[in-house]
Amino acid sequence: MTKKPRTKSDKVSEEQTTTEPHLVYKVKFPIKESVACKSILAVEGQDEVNFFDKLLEYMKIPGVDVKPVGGKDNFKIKVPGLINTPGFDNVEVFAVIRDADNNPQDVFESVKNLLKGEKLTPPQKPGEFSSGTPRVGIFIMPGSSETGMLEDLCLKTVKDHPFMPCVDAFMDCIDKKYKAINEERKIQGENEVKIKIPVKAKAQVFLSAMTETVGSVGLGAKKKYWNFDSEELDDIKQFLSQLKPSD
Amino acid sequence: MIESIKIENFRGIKNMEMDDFKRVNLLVGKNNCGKTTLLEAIFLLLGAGNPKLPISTNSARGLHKVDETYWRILFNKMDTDVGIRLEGNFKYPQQYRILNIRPDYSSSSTALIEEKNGDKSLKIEDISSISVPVISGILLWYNRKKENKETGIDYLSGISIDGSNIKERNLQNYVEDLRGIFIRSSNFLSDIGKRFNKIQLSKKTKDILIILKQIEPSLTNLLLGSDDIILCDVGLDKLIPISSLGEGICRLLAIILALYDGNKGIVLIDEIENGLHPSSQEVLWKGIFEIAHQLDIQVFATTHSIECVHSFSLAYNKFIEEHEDERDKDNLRLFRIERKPEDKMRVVKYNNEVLFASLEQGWEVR
Repeated sequence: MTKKPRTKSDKVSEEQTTTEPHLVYKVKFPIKESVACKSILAVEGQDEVNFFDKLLEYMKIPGVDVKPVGGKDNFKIKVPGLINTPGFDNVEVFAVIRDADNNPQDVFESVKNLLKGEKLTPPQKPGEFSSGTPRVGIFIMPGSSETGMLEDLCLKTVKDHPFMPCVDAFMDCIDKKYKAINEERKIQGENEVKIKIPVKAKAQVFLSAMTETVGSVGLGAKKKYWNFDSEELDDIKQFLSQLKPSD
Repeated sequence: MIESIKIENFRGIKNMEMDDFKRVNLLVGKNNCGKTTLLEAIFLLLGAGNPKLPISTNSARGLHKVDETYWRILFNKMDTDVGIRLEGNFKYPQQYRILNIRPDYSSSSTALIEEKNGDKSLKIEDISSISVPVISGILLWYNRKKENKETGIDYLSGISIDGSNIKERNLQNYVEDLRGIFIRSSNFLSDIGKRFNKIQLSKKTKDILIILKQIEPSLTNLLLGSDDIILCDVGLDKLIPISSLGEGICRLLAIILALYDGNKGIVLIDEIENGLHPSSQEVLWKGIFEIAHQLDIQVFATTHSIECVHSFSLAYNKFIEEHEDERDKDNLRLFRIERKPEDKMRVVKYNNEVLFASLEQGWEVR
């Protein structure tokens, strides 16, 4: 059960860090206020926070606190941490949005079981909300039981953008180059190399063509580079609309 | 080691159940949420055969005038019609304890309890200036059920004021098999000399010095002087009293000595951070995890300080980093006690991982 704490070799970022030689620990001061909103949306990371903050603002749904709880590794400890935060017992609506990655059903089941373990009532299907207290919703991106992630959804919103043929051509070209490289590597007895997550690369290529280049889809949302009017967002928008807290 | 507790009608707690206690437990929550009351409830259960303990807990809260209010303050909303009931499930040795406390109406008077060097004496107030109280003391029914036995043994004890004396009804042929030490948030030095004497006799002064030197590097030795005063060598021409090094180091020493004295027992520490700089708090927690591990001690502490919570989490993670055998033992809990409307209590638990993640995220846990 007890997990080894982070060590220097682990990735750490911003904020204050203690100077202990063998244990790196981020200490964020001041401690943020307890849960104050009646509606909480838990997403994977800061990029998702930026994206959904912007989408909720676009949909004119105020009063939703979007919290980053990490992906598959941190999710199991950060969601209980969030649920434990003072004030959470006053929350009326709690939703979780996770990337499907390669298995939307497995991700849904793992989120469902985690929430059950925290004595919440999860919905029976992704994209839905339960009628428990709080009401609990789970959405697995990009939606419709497809594999993938937020970047897939973002790219779908701009599938008719005039730059997309250029982006596709670039990705095809790179793909061909990788194939050539890998044929050579195979002869040399070396392992195949490839872009780890092509959809992230594709999103980066699209964003790099914008008037002001940004490094992530969340910041892309802030710059309005994704088409929030796209019908590709209908499912997620329908889900988010249920996050509206009571007055 | 206590695993769970039920508290009914004790001080500010109408009804509360807590379980999943681990070796080292930190209690947080807003003022008057019941943290100290929980420590007191555990303490009373540990010494359920000792009728003087309720008086000790009142003294720790600065209550010395023994009148009807003095006894009523033990009861929820001061309502003595509903008795206090404390239940605790202990292991090592395995037993279930139930302590019922009821008011005793048999005699009455008013007195002042004076405490000096841990001993209590009674001083009766001028009888002409006081009203006649109704409740004169308390009766304690205590049941101890051991191991797999279906029923436990009942014990009755009590303490009351009779004229100018404290009248005790003590248990006969009773042997206490649990050990508990309560460190108050203030006035914590009462037993420090006696405890240090034990350390000195068992040649463990060096172990204490290793911990204290992390805060006061000039400290090279500790010795017991007259009147139970602990003297220290900080490289001056003469030994000086440890108290001259400040409250923080005395607090640290008092806690460490209590831990060494609490062999296989439970040490309860109220407002553990008092007088300690955040850097010293980490030294203290590291010492607590080490000693609790070595001597099989369970610790309960309260705090309001976020630095103290951080130190608690950091020290535990360093401790398990250094003790491979402890990594999978899940020996830490943080409990937040919340008072809700209609006398309801809510207890929120954090294990090491969830606490670490919450602190790292900057989320409030207190």
